[in-house]
Amino acid sequence: MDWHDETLWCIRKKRDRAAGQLPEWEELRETASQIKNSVLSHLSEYLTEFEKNAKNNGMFIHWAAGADEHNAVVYSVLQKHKFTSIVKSKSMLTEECHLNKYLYERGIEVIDTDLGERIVQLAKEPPSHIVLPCIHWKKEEIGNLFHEHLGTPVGIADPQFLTKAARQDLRGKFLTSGIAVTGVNFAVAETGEFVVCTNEGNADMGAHLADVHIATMGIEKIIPERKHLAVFLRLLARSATGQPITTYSSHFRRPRTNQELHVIIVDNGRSAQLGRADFRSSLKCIRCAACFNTCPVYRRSGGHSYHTAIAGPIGSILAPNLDMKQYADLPFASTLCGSCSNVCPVKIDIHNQLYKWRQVLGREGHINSVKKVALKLMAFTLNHYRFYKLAGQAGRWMMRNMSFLMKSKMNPWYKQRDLPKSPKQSFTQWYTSNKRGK
Amino acid sequence: MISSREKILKTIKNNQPEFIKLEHVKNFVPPFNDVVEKFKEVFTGIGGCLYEVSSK
Repeated sequence: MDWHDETLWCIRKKRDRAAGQLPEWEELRETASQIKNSVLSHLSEYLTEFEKNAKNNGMFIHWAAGADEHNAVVYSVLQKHKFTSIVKSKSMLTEECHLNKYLYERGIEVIDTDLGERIVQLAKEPPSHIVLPCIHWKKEEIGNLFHEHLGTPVGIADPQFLTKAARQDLRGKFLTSGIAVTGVNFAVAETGEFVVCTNEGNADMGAHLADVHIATMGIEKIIPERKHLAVFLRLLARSATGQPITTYSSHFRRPRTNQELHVIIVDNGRSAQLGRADFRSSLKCIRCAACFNTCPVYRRSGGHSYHTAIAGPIGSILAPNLDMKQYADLPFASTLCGSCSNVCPVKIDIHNQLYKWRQVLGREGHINSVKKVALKLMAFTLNHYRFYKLAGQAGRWMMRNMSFLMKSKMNPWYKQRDLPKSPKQSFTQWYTSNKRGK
Repeated sequence: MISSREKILKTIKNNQPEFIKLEHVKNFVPPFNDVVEKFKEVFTGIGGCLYEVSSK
């Protein structure tokens, strides 16, 4: 997985360069953090203000307490208009609610129109990254996938050619679909408008051609005033991909003539998270994935290891709120190095919350007995130097002489990963033999 | 029966933290004086060809 690690680190470096070009970067982060803190303290007021203004603009507003209700609202709109297919631009909320599965089961065809999402959809996989959904795929593999599904010539791995093939295929879907589903990056309470950011223009293509546009948003997507977009849009693109601005930041304020525009405001556990003082600031997240790209665990393990729609460090503090038992492992998938908090554009203390979740999960009895024993053993090892030294020697010997135990087909962890080479000596041994004066 | 709207708003009201004032957002001034000149510089710097048309 070295290439996965290197690719994401490359994006992290682009983010650093983009941030470094703005002298006011840290001030922007602080401003964004303060705006979001204020939003969370008047969330109900801003939501009702948005609702009122959006209705005045001609939108239909729906409220969904959970994923099932969200999916049922989408389906009811489809049924009302007798549509049997939708085009969908990238929306992590629909992934969180498993909308595609819900609609497939009811005979509705769902076409993901973001290129990365389309690739993972053809491969029957979930996205592994919230901004770069197919970052775990190599271009040669995508060429084979497109050959199988889109009929491109065999052996083509040219990204430009493959993109054109996908575009050609998607154009037909856009033109024939009567309904488009998009996410929402920011909903402006002051004006009742919302903003969708894409680099491919696929949200616009879908929404502008369809008779019905459904936009789905979590309750935390609210910002007070339009002028605050100037803060968040500058932070979002730079933090996500290192671009100065997202290619398309599309404002939707009212439906076109004869078009229906629906907005679904979804809770799905967010209001409960708001009540957890230690964790509520996770709701400030603007889904840039900067924390993914910098995380040493995410970069090496990949998004599917997290078994949740939103992976990475931020996903590991959001998911346990939804189901502590199911996601009890996630806060432990971190070195607590704090790099995630350092790059977060809205200053969420992600690593502190990961640490606090571990304590909550322990208190609530969601740590399994094997992990408990392993943690006790680790604590003993780290507290006893001689034992630590012995364990290190034994581990290195095992890696050199008995690596077949770990490379076994019985070990699912190894299936997509390489075992690193065993170092010849420990750090202490290396330091002793290389320290100054030797 | 209580609607989802009421349920969500009620939970939010119960759970939202103490009122935090929305601070004034300052206008970030670009670190150069002439925005048009800066645009020209960057645009030509990345290989663009600029044609200036007189407004007269």
